[in-house]
Amino acid sequence: MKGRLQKIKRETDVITWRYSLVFLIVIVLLGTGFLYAAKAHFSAMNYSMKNERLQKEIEELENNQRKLKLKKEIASSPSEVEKAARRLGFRQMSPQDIQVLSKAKSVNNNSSEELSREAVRRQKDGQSAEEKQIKYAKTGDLKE
Amino acid sequence: MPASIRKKDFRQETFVRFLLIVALFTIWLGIIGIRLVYLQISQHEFFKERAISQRRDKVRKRMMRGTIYDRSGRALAMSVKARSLFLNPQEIENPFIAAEILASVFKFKKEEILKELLKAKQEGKRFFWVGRKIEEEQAKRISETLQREAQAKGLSVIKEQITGFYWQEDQKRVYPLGSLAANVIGFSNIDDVGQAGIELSQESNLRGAVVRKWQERDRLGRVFDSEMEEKEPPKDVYLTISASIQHRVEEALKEGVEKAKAKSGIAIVIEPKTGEILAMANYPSFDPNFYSRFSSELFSNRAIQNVFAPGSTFKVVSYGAALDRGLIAPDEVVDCGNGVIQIADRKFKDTHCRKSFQDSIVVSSNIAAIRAAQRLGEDGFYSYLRAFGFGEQTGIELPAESTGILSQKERWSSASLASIAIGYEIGVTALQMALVFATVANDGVMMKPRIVKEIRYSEGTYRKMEPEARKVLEEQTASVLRKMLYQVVLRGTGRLADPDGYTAAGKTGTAWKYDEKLKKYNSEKYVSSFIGFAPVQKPAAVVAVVLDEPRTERRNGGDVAAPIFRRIMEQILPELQIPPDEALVAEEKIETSNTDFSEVPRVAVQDSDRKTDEKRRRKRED
Repeated sequence: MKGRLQKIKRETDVITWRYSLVFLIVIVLLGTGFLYAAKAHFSAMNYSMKNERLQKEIEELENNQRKLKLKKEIASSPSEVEKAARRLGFRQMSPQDIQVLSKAKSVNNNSSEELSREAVRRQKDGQSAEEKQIKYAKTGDLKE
Repeated sequence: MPASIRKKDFRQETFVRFLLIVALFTIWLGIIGIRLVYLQISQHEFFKERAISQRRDKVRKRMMRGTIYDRSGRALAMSVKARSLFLNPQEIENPFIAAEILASVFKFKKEEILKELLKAKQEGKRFFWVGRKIEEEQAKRISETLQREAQAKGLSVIKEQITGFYWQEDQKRVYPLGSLAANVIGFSNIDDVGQAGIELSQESNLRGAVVRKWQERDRLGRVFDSEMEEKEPPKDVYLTISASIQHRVEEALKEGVEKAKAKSGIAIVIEPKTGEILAMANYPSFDPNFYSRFSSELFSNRAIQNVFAPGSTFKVVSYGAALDRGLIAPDEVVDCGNGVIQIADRKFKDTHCRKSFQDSIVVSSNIAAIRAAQRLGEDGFYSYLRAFGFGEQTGIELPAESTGILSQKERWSSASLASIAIGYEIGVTALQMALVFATVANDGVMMKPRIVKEIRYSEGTYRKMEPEARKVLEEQTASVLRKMLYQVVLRGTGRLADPDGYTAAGKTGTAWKYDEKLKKYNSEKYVSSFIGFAPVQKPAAVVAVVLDEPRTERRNGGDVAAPIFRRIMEQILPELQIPPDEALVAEEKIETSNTDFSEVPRVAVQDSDRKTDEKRRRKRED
């Protein structure tokens, strides 16, 4: 009896095995997908937090920059500079300290003149109200 | 009962039971499903909002107020981060201990703070300011001291926070240069709203909007995402003022006002070619960092808000108008009778008779100025007054500018023309008068005064303020006037205004003050002024100095205001890189009235030392 039983060959269901394999692959894929998504999620969270920390740091640095700028402005205020200069033996600049080497023409003056000329030209071109007023002024017939 | 039937019954019973359990499960799941559908579909919005509110919070934040800079980019007013402390009286466990701690840290009177705290608690208030705009380092120190004191006295402190005590982020306005240009810059109040000066006039540009920031937090309360509401950031304002020149002008004015024992003083420096204000000083002034400690009378910018009778400085307008119409010539001799002329019911006296118009302005003759105006007539003179901008605002970017006082021509009395010609019956601001001289210095072209140079946006772009001009006098008229005014400084009433190294032109003014109580001019109180420009040939700066009620023995404009003008010019012209011209002009003996500046040849400047020394000696002798 025992020997007869031993001769029985179990049949394997190939379809079941195939299904199981597909099922396993799907499970592994899904699992991997979930793991990847979780990793991406936590990584995004982590980066967001780092980003926030950096933002805060930028704000703090800007704030510090403002404070330093304020200190610089206070330290270099004209009255402070004057005090320091006098302490070091400097004296107030006088006209005699200026040596004119060539025909003197300051850059500032030129640009100012140009501005002035430009403004007058614009005024003339534009037939503005001021022009009319001046016309009235010349004829002694100003009316407001 | 046969065994097979019993077995069948048992199986059936088991199956029924199984079905029952399945049915129960199905019903249970169905109920859950229905509930989920209800919660997730019908109540979707409500729970979504609740979920968001659990992990998101909203922070309201005010952007930093814009900075005010001078023309070279030096910060005159800026905001820094600060913190404010407030209490929730309802959360304060023991007001007595809280008051004790606050009194010791903030140096308050314990009884007063306790009284206010108890009152707030009783009234159900949930907000009570303790300290506002405390600088960060100081706030940190205070916070630590408060915690120590609170722990020692038994108040509950959780996560470094005392129950009922809250710190709020804030900002503080700081004026790094203190009182420098305080009347121009103005100040902003505790709520960061501009109250005076540029702070007020440029409020719309400087004000930082309140922005909302949404923060998302994880289960541990850590912020992992934030979203900021988009709003236009505040702009920075660049002024035409030069901090360095302003400092020098303020120093000179302070010294001059104290020396003259005057009530107050004003000084303005204008670049005539552009109309840019380089300095505008008031003395006495205030420190905007501690504005609450000063009288509000000091806050006004008297250079544009105070109206005064200009006196003799106004004669420039009378001469200028008559010259422009070709009604007078500089060398024409003025007949002033025996030194007294009567117009309507008023007598105008003069000690300088039978002089040319040129010499009359040198000695500041009243009758000559009246004669010049009379030739124009009321209509003509009035039209020039309007063309010079009297009776209207100059349009400078500062608040509360006065128009001055100029009566309608129809309301003039028979003597008004004569009075106005010598600077009475008219009210002007120092800026209006400075502009008259700037017009003469700028070949008859009046530039609109500007104090805001440009507005800069956060993204780096900027809006530049364009100059505006109008022609008031002919170029030739302005040139003749400059020469006449040069003589005033060289040999007339303004000799003390003559700066070393430079030629200068200008006019003195000494006017009686109008007394509101007496309803007439008070001969005891003066407004002394000197307004002029330098160098004469190519004016680079116009300086107006006005002193209110000088009380020294010699208190004419030429005695008290002219030396201030001189000191200012001597200091600012080298800074503006203007080469000295006195030696060049002196070489050609320019003291005659017919001098043509354009023909003056250039000579070596090394000679200037000798000339200047001679001049100094002459001044000392004077």
